[in-house]
Amino acid sequence: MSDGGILIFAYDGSFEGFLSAVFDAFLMKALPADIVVFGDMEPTLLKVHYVETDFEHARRVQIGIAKKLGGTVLNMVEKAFLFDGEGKENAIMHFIWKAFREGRSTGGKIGDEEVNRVFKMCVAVNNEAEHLRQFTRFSDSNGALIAVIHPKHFILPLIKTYFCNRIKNEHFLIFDAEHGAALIHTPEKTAIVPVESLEIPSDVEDKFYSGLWKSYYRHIAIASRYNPTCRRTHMPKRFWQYLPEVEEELESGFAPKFSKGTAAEIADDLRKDILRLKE
Amino acid sequence: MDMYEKLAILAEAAKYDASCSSSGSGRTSSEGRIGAALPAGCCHSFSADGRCISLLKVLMSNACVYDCKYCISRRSNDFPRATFTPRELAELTIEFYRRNYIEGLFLSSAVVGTPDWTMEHMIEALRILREEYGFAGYIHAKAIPGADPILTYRLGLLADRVSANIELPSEKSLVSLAPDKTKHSVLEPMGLIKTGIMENREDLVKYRHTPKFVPAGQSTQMIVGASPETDYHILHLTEGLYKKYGLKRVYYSAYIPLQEDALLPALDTRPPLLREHRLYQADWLLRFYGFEASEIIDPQKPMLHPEVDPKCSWAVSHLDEFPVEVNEADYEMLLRVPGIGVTGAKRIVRARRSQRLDFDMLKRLGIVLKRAKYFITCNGKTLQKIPETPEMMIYTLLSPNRMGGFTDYGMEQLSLFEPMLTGEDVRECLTGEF
Ligand code: SF4
Repeated sequence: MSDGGILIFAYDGSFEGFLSAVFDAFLMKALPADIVVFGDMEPTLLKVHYVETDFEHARRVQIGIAKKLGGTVLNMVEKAFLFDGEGKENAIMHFIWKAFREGRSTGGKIGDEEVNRVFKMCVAVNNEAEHLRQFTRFSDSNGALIAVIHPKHFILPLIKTYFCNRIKNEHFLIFDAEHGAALIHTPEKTAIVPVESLEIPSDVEDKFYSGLWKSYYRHIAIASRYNPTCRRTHMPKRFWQYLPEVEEELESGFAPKFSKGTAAEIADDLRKDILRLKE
Repeated sequence: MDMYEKLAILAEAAKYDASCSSSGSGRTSSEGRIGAALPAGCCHSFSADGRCISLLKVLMSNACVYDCKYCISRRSNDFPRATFTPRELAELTIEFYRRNYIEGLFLSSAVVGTPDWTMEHMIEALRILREEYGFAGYIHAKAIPGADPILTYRLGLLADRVSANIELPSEKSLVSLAPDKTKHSVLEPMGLIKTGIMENREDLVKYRHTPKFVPAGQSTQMIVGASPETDYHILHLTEGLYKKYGLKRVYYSAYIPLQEDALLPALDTRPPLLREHRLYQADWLLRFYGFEASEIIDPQKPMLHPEVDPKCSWAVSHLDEFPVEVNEADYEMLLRVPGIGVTGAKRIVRARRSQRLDFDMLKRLGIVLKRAKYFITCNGKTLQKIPETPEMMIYTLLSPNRMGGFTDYGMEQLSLFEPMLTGEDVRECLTGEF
């Protein structure tokens, strides 16, 4: 089928679609110059092969990778696919291609340029997932828990187990506004579903606990150890929009004032703060 | 008194305890109705001082009958007082937990009335959490010195981790600064917990349904800089605690002067943060890198080097063991290379199984060569001429960010500490990994 001209693949953006593309490439015995999602495609003079998403093809590729290349390679492929960034499909395709040529050990060759690209994508995806395990915040709206996140990568599948384990008996929803999907959980079932937009019910009720949390956050910091650099490294600013505890700081742009100095001064500040809270 | 007031007071009083970790337990969600504990722990926020907030760290009460001189909650201090009811505290923990603010609870307390009364109150809070709410998240509880051993044991059946603070690094300091405590009252709970954990381990093997006792192990904390002990003393004490009591962690807390007292450092003394940082680094070497205290510090120079981290110091005084060949050195030796941490060493071991590594590959693996390059070869090649003497080596390692003329601990530490921080240091400032 390949007649030597430069070829690019276009597919529907799903994982099965991508595996179908891998299937087609093997069939054509040719690596495409690029792989793009239908919707993102710019007009081109190059030859385009439109990949048809075929679940049977996808399954065969998946089983092939698992059997011939092992779990490490398959895991890397699945995880790297959650990466959101240009050139991801091409990098994974090259990695798979190389692995079929060089065998199981390919997954370990993380110092190698082609493998390293995919390895780095996996690390980035893992890090993002960890950040959202840390910094996702729920608000209680009539007993249901709701959170909105804007992750760099599509990490909902990776944080699913964590949240379902912690609060298995709750009704909760995590809306990934960046990728138009939501993790929805009830005590009976869990699903990740496409969601275009979400009306967040404005609820007054949760002010009580988020308020307590803000106050806790303020009082747990030690003034004479103030270290904004260290905080920003561990809690990057882009997550602050979710965090009630830094809401005021984010809005005002000012660091909070601390009770400083001696025990007597701290006690004084604390008394003032309590009076302020009472109002 | 409302919750806002109580929480403000009891967080304010709890914050000088250094420990925050939620790691090491691994309770599954099937053990309860809400919550699970991850073996690796999770930090949900970072306070303005850059410290991890993983657990709701509060005191049950700060109405202390004791009068430890270094403590903000001591009896003679004029300070607002509050006490949670067990139910209030349990409910607050659950509500914070549901919202993903925290991984669990770290409960300590001042001594209210008697040690026994205090412990019973704490136990009741944990019982409500575990039994009534079915909470399977992480709980760290502080054993109150002087309480009945039975109570310490009951606390251990409800908590994931129990700690007994030794507070000060020597008995002499303890006697002068914490007159109501004794070495015995501090160490007794530690011994009890150790025995409890060992018996529990045997029982778990014999009987399947034995309840877990302190599954995440015990830890302790000591205040650094309130009393005259050296780093040499502290590190040997630490090593002893790891060996004798099987502790999981020793925490160090830089002393923050809050009140005038002839026995304590002056009010304007800066907290020894750099010293605390170096102790954590040395502690990390003991726990994860297979070092002995005697390798890290010797009695002739009883304080850790302020400018060079302890691993680097060790390497510089053992230049005959370097350079190491990254393609051949075993994992333990890789860990001893300045600039290579646990993540880096693991990546090297994984990558070299399928191919020989060169310097470009090392960079791709994310190994920072800034310091490591003086201590390694790749396929027999070095990236940098290696300085021959320890003095030259120290000079080389320091020169890029050398700060003029400081030799003295305790002086100007904050201003020194900050410009010296690199991205790497900052990452380490929590974990102690380097
Ligand atoms: S026992 Fe001592 S250290 Fe503990 S709260 Fe009371 S005064 Fe403070």
